[in-house]
Amino acid sequence: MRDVMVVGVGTTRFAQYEDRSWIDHGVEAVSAALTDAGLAWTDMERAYCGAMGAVGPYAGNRVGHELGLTGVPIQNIDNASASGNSAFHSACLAVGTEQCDVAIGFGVGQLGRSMGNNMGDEGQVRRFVARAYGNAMAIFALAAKRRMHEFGTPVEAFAKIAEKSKHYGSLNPHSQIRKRYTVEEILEARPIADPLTLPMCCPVGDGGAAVIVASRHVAARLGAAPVRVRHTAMYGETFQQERAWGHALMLAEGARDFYETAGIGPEELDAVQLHDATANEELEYYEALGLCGVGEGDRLALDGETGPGGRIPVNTDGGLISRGHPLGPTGCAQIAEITRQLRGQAGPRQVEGARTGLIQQTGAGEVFFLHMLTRE
Amino acid sequence: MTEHDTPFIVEEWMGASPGGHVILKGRRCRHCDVVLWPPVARCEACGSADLAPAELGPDAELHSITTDWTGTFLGYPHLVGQVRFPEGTFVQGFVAAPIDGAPAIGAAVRLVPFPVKVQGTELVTYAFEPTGEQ
Ligand SMILES: [Zn+2]
Repeated sequence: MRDVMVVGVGTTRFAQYEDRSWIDHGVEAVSAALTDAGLAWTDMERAYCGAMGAVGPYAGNRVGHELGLTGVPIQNIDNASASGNSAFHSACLAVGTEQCDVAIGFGVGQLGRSMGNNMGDEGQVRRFVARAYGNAMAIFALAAKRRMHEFGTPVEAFAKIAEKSKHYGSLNPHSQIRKRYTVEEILEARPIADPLTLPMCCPVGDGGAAVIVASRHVAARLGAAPVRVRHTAMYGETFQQERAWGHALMLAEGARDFYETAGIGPEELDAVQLHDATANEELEYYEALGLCGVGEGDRLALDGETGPGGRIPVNTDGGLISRGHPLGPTGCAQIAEITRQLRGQAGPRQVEGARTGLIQQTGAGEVFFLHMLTRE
Repeated sequence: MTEHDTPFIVEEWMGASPGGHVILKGRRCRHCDVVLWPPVARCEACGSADLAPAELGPDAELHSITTDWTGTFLGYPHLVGQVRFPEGTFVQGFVAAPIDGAPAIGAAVRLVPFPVKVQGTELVTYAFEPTGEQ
């Protein structure tokens, strides 16, 4: 595959909006990415839109209608939390395999008003109720409680991750939650499913995000900062009977393959974006991604090694639990943040001298994406 | 139907067991011996369609437990647990115990009938009830 470069990124502020639709967010995010790249919608040769079914069918085309019917083919993708990552991945493949020179991956979501009635017909609802599958956070809480039992992980490790996330979110104008919390405030906040309190869980919201990729010669013509897609890969769910919550085991298998193919290991990373639906999920992925050894995630969190000035800053835009997680656009927002870090444009949350960034995303535990970007 | 004639929430997933307990109706793969629940058409581990009926329960070990303070489905805060059956299968469900009497991880539990309401209809699912043994 030929080299693929990131030439433009755009994000909207994730939040619950009464007066804006997901289409508005899509148009704003795509327009921002076009401006960032110095390109027009008419320059897009392929487009991929990540959105969850709840926003309605052919979401990308409905955004495209607002931008212009230029003949650009738009492919719609639903991969739950990883929908935006799927869109980016597909755009990279289109450029990498020489189908085109410029492609855009974007995502839209409107979780605030679309999830309540999304469980399907009564038969589906019965299948959820039967297994007490109502509160998604309870599933993460069960994993947290098991971790505390097996590893002796203190709840403060989860609180410290949330505190770090809120700190980064306070520095990001596009973060849904910009309020800072102390570890004590997090521990005493409203309980959701013990040991998880509200600030340890991602909020629901709306938003849009977009990433434009191009061939090396187009990127050079645009004078873009040389941010290269070093590797992008997608992994599927494997059967796990060893642990009730097998996400981290699956991710660890994929990560080993990914680093080997990329030729760059976890010790060379400067910044990481990962799927933190809850603080304890982030902790599990520290280990799965090899940022530390198995059982060492507690220490990494408690020592502040994944926060400002730490050894390996994680989720520098606030991550899911502060920046927000409207599903469709989340992956493109992650890629936008790593791109800004590698360009040196991350302002007060800048990781000094960042040259290599990793993005990880999970879609409903059934699909995993890993992308690596490098500054040349 | 349960012994009180209230329908099970998903009849093909569970059934009554002697002593007022509940069993889960799963599938054992004849190819790789994995036991799966809910029932599936093909083995999730190896893809084989050569599956035999298999019952899980009523005895299991509590693998993890939390309090769902949002009260989803029941309308009030309640316990949610995850158990591991001797066959190695993990299952999530309600825990039939008060929040201040929550069993510890590792506790022995048994599947018992548990009343729930779905869109106004009274139904029965399973719940994990501590036996008092570790
Ligand atoms: Zn099998």
